[in-house]
Amino acid sequence: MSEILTDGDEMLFRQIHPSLLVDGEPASNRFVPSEDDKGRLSLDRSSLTSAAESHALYTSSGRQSAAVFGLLVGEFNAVPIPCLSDPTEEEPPHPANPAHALADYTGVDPKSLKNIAKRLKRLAIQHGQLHPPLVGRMNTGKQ
Amino acid sequence: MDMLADLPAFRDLVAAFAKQIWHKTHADRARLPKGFDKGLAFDLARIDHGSAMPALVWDHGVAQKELPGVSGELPQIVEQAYAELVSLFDAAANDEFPKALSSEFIRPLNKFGAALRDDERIEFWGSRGEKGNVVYLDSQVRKNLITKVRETYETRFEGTGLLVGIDAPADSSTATLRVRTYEYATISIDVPRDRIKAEFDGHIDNAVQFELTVELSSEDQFRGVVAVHDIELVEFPEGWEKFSERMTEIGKLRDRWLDGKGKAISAVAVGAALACVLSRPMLGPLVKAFPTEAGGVLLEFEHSGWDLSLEFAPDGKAEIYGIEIDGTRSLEPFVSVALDAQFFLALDAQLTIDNE
Repeated sequence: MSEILTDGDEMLFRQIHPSLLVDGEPASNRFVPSEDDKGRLSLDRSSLTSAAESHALYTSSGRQSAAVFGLLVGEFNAVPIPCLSDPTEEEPPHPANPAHALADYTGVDPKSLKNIAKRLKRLAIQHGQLHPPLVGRMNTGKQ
Repeated sequence: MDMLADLPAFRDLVAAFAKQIWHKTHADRARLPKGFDKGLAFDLARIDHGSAMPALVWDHGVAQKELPGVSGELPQIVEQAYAELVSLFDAAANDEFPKALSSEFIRPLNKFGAALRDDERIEFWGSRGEKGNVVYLDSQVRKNLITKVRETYETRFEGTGLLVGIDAPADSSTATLRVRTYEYATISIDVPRDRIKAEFDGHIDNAVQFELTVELSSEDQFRGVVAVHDIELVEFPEGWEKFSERMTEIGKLRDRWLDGKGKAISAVAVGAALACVLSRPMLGPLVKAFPTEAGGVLLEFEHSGWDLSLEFAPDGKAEIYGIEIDGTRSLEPFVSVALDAQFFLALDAQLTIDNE
């Protein structure tokens, strides 16, 4: 059952596809929900998993991720985008994911969507790549 | 646009309708009166200040001289011919087309408005269409009209490509440059032979910028180059090799590239991104290039305190947007139908901003 995430300091992990990562920086469009996602961006909660575990689970069914970046619940809320818990059951080939969460963009003005995604991308870059770990980068995700 | 270049074609279109009207109203006469065509002359009375607005006046004097016996009927015929021409364009704008037009119409129709850019239109002042609007012809209406009445159409193609070969037969005054474009693969562009030695020899794999009139099928398949307006070598920007390799990589992405989602990246979008960077070399070392789920290309870069994005849709639409890095200002998305003057105006405004 979905619950609004209220801990503004909780980090939410986002997987970055290899084609959407250049020189260690993700594309801003990775912070916009896909058309199929009905306005909700897929994330994993740092209170329930680590960036490394999140990456391992995501890629275990053949999906690709070159890096994990993250944003705080409070950073989404400031935009304002509410975040919700969304644990998922096993749905072959994808395994169950009790740490799954959603950032709900449905209230965002479509004209502002791309620029909001750019601001979120910049915040994610400030947090640094959370997995695989990079020496010398700040890492705030649970490891 | 060069409006004056359209005037002879406009005159020929009015003349074609006028002849048709003459035949209808003089069914008993098999031939046009001698001098009929010459009698349909228009004078460019003036070009109104502030825009490309040529005022055309039908020359009664020429008609009286060339058609002494029938010049009295002509004002009405010319007026009706103009009305039918405007009506043809108005109907086309509303997706209504004649089943066919004779070559007498097709020839001038293929020339009239051929240089129209996507953001330009020819308006027929004083006209009133079915919907009460001023009737106009733009590149889309023109394309639709021409392809409905024939299989191909001509259009302006401004872009960039790589010079991949040169054929310069010794016994010909013309040489052919083979240029690889992203939009239409490798195309052949004829140039005077003496330009080869002076400009292109030894520059295989260099970039060229060109302005052509090309013939496309109604499905936008390339058929050939009709006219070469300009072609020249251009310098590669700094960082070009890395950028073009990245674009090649992006261009190879096929359907479902994004973990089962994501459309194949459009060659038109890749071509637009390459042309954009060649046109604004300062972007070369700055941009990071990404595919988009919709099959387009996204370029992102920082400049003068702004984080900017240029997005090229699969159909070539170009969009610019961005945010101030240490502030709250945003550049709301500006979408242009193509990589055109409007887009570059918006881009240049961002490239020249100071960090105030």
